[in-house]
Amino acid sequence: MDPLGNYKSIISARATDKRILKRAQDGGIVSAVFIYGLENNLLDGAVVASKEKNFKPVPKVATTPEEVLEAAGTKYTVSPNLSVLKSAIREYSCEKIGVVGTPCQIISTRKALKYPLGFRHLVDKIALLVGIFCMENFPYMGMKIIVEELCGVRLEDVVKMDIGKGKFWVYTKWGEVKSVKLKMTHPYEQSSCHVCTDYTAELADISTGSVGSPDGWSTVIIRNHRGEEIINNMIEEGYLETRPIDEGKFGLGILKKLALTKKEKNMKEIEHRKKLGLPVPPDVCGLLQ
Amino acid sequence: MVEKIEIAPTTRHEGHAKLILEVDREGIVSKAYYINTTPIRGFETMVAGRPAEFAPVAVMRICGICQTTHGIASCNAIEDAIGCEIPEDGRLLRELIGLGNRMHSHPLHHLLTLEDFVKPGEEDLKVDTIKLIQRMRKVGQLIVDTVGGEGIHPPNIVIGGMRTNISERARAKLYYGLRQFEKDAQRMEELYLELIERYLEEVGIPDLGSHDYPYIASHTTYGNKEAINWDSVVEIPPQRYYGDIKIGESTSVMIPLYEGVPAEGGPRARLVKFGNFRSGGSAMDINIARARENLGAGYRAMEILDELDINGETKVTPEYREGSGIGVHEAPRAMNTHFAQVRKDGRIKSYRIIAASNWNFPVVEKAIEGYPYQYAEVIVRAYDM
Repeated sequence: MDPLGNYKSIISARATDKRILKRAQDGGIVSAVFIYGLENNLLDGAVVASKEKNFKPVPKVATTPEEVLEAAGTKYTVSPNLSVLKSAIREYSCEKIGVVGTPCQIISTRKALKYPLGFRHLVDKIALLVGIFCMENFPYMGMKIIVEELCGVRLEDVVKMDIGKGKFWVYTKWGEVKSVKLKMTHPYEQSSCHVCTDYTAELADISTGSVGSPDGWSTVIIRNHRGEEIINNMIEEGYLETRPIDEGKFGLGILKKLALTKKEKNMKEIEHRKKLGLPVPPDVCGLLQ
Repeated sequence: MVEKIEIAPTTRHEGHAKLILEVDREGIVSKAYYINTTPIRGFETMVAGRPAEFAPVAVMRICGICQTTHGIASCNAIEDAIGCEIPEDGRLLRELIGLGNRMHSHPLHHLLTLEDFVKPGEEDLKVDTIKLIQRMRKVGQLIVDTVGGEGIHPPNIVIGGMRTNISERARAKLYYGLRQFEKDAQRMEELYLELIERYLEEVGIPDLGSHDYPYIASHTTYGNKEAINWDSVVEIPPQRYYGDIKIGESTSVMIPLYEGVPAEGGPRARLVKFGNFRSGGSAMDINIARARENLGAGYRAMEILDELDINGETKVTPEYREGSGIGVHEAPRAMNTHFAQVRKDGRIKSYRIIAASNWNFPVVEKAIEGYPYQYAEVIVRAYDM
């Protein structure tokens, strides 16, 4: 099984802008790419997951670097970003849109581009798809239980959440850090995530996530010419600093391992469902042949 | 001897209809029936008992072209019924989207009537005009797309106002679109004035299709229920109106009357009531009035873009209570009216619609009568329904 899908190159990178790094989850790649796009007229809007009080995610069309910054940071819950895709081209009149999404959202966007039923005028207006690594996601109430019940922190006190080293981490406004073993969070996952075989957003132009890079850096998978061009320009113009990806066990090794784990584990679930005559998702990653 | 001519279906207009003409020896129409053959669609029954929010969504599906106006009239009616005041910026956006509807619908009518006025050998003129029409329609459609969230059955028209405002970028885009539209509308009006003058000259009947029935219009660019005396509006069954059971049974629409007689609605009616357009002239005047309304729509739309606060509130959350209300919107073809009764629980108690074109069915008949039968269809198309 091919763990990462098609790609041209993989690097470790982080934004050079301190404002981004301060708010970003890891290397601030998504924010940096969108801000670079907006500032250089490659994009005139970006569909992002912003958040309201209590980590309530709100899909939003960001048209300024400030709005992109506001949306920085991972929300470990569902943000229906595609629901504002049409708004971006209608009420916002954008013509060059960047979209960030989880692998499933990237797959859906690709599908909408391929078969634009109900998405009139969309196809030539999507300029860039940025995918984020995703093992599974939690519905809002699931995340709330993990944070409030398992970690014992009120959502309103949370400034950042993170997953790493086998744990779900919660950082509070008061500088406290709480964590819970990832194993404990499994019951609160979305069941639909258990039939997904895409860990690295294989259909995006650029995929990014923390796995495979040191703390404060992100792994960036450049998948096509479009992604390559923008990342190269960003490096050239000093928006990103890079380092070669660690080819070893704690770099590419763990990325591939996790991607394969997701594929293998969820293929089993798919086979199981098939046996029971239950519906399974279409074969997007080409694993079912 | 009276001869009967039946044209079924009539073509190059919106909707489905047939024409039955009684023609005398000189070829003059002595009696005309213009029958709407659209089957019963039952929207009024469909929304009864359902949540009020469903009504605008459903009734927009009455028409593929005038969805916007049905959405607006429906929301206006329900808001009137529950005493809901919408924010000023919501109202402006509603007017703007209604004008967008007019700005893509009117040029479409020009497309349908164009064939009546260009002659063989004028292919270049025809092609140029069609390109002009397409460009104009694009702007109208862009407004509906942008303000309504979708070009067809715009979901942003909701009870309480408009779902969202537009961005600065969107406003600028509409502005530049409207600038082009203004130029094109000017050209369109000049063209139609010329074409129709030539046509009437060649036909030799300067008042072709005139009638002396009154006009009905509530506003030039939006809709105003206060402008109409609602006690004078009645709808009667076609059987009673025509006094002919067979004719009456061949249509499913009611005949609306204002002060006991048919009344003409649409571009000419609005420009006569609120402007200085010539009344009582040839039905061909309607084609000219329509072209002129394009200009007015573009002008008003620009004004709205200036007045609109893009950071303003566009929607309030409606509080449902018992009541009945009237919603009026000036659709491209005529005044579109929705009557809604809302129950205490926010569901529709009863609903009635007098769709815009219904007004003009009986008027078209009067306009055809007294003129040579050959021109009957040209007169129908001037009204476009």
